Amino acid sequence: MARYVVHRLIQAVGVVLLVSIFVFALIRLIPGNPVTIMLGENLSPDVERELVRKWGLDRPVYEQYVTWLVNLFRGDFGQSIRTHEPVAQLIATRIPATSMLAVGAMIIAICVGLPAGMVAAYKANSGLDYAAMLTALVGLCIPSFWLGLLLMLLFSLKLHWFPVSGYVSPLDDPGASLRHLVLPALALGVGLSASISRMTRSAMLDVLRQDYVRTARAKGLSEARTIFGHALRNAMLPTITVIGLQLGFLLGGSVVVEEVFSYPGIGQLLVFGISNRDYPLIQGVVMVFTLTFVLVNLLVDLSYAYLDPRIKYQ
Amino acid sequence: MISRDEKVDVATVGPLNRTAARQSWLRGQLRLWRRNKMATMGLLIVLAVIAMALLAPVIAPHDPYERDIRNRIAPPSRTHLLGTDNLGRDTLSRIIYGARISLLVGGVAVGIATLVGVPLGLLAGYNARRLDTAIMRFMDAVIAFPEIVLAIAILAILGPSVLNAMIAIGIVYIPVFARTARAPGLAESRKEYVEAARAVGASNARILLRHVAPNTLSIIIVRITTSLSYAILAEAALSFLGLSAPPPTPTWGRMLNEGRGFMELAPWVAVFPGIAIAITVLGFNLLGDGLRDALDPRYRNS
Repeated sequence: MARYVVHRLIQAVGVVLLVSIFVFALIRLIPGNPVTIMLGENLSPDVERELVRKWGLDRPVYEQYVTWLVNLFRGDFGQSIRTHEPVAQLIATRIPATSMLAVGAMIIAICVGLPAGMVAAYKANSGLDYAAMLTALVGLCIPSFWLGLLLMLLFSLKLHWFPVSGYVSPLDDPGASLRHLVLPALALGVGLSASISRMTRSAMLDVLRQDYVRTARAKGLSEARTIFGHALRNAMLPTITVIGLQLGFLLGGSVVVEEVFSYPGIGQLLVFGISNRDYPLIQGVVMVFTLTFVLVNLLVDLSYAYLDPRIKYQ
Repeated sequence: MISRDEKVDVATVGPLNRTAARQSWLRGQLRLWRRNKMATMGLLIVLAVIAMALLAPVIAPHDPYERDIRNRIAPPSRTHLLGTDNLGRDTLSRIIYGARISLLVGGVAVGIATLVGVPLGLLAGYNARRLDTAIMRFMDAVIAFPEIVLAIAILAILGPSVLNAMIAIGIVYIPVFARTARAPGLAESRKEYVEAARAVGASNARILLRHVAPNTLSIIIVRITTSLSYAILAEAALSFLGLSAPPPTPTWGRMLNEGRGFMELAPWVAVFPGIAIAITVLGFNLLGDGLRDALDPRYRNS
């Protein structure tokens, strides 16, 4: 186990280093001088030279990278070009909103996807199975931002059940906070629940064919205990991996869904960064999103090894 | 349920009697299509969307750029079947023309991903030593980025345009194809016929191109089809964010973005382009699932 954990940790660190090189290169890869690209052509040569020196652009590239990486580890993501605030602070203030959105979408996805997949597998090839899987397929094809628009159109603009857009901190008003969360979380969660239900169904089908499930039935266990005590636990393994991998979809989807609902999260910050050519901000958000994704998948792999002892001997 | 005998794999068709083999292959495929109604429906949707894109000037009732000033935000009617937007442009015509950008960006992006990813994956699987580790670790790093976030980051470097959207989405999907090609590449490279080819003195390049690559074909075709659906979704998201084709080019994602400002007055502008995206993506998904059932041995009997 220890060897597997160490191996997996080293691999994750390697991936993060490669990712950091890419994110660092973000500014260097743009053709032209970074200073004029970000601040426009109308700079006096003196100011430009001053900025080049201040941002360390006159030093060798590897030196710039090391400085940038060391600063990153200290939590210094640089300064936003538009708002002149520290990027780390800008991102930090938006973490609660995006975390709530991601967790909300995940809860919806699991509460819908898991039971749907289980029922579909249990009643395989029945009308219920086909209906569930057809719904899942359609769910996969609907773009989250379009679903967001439709939900907003129906439940906010026509029925006035939920606010059209925005965000309220749960510390200020838990009820209003939840009302603001429901539609964006639904828009993001539906696609996710579709992939979770598909994965759960196929994993559950695999497990239900196994000998030990037949044994469990043969020794007279109740159907509920066979399913929940024996089958579900093993069927959960691949499903957990899918949930981990889908976090990438969730983070990416949050960018568009936050834009639809003017929800002040990290994804919206990325859109702001792009439209303002605020490269330190873009770098910071991309780095934070990717680190989160890598970390969650690391945790999923490690928990997988804990749940399934066969993994660690490979 | 498709039994093994009924399906003639592209790769197993011998070189001896090609026309006969191709005919029976075709017949086998036709039988498969009939069996798999969902896949047939997917194929029909895909063909319809392709026809829509190609024949746009013929079938579109209006010029997609033409502004009918007197009919702004007009509800669906006989002259404008799906209504008009805030500039008086015909929604239906813009959706028909929008198919061009979706298919073009999706197709070229998946093409880039295939042409770069598959050779890298085959090479990694065939070599299976340091080169394998180097290629696959690099792919791990690319996969570590959430999809859309990576595409946005690449577009931040390149600047928003149709070509750059293709490149960005293409790069995002390279690892998918590298991983897909590596597994069969690895398995095939260790089979006896490769050993035999090596024994008669075939070069590595020849073994890889003539012997290993064709055997990964079916699995790659399946991957291309399903990836197209994701690539079209990605393009829609990027053009929704204004990072694909510039205005006034009609794209489905941009139409949704432009329509959301006045969708309370004109829900049709926010509804119909989304339906176009969902149906197209559904078509490629159904087709991909059907092809997988037909071509991928692991699903053949399930």
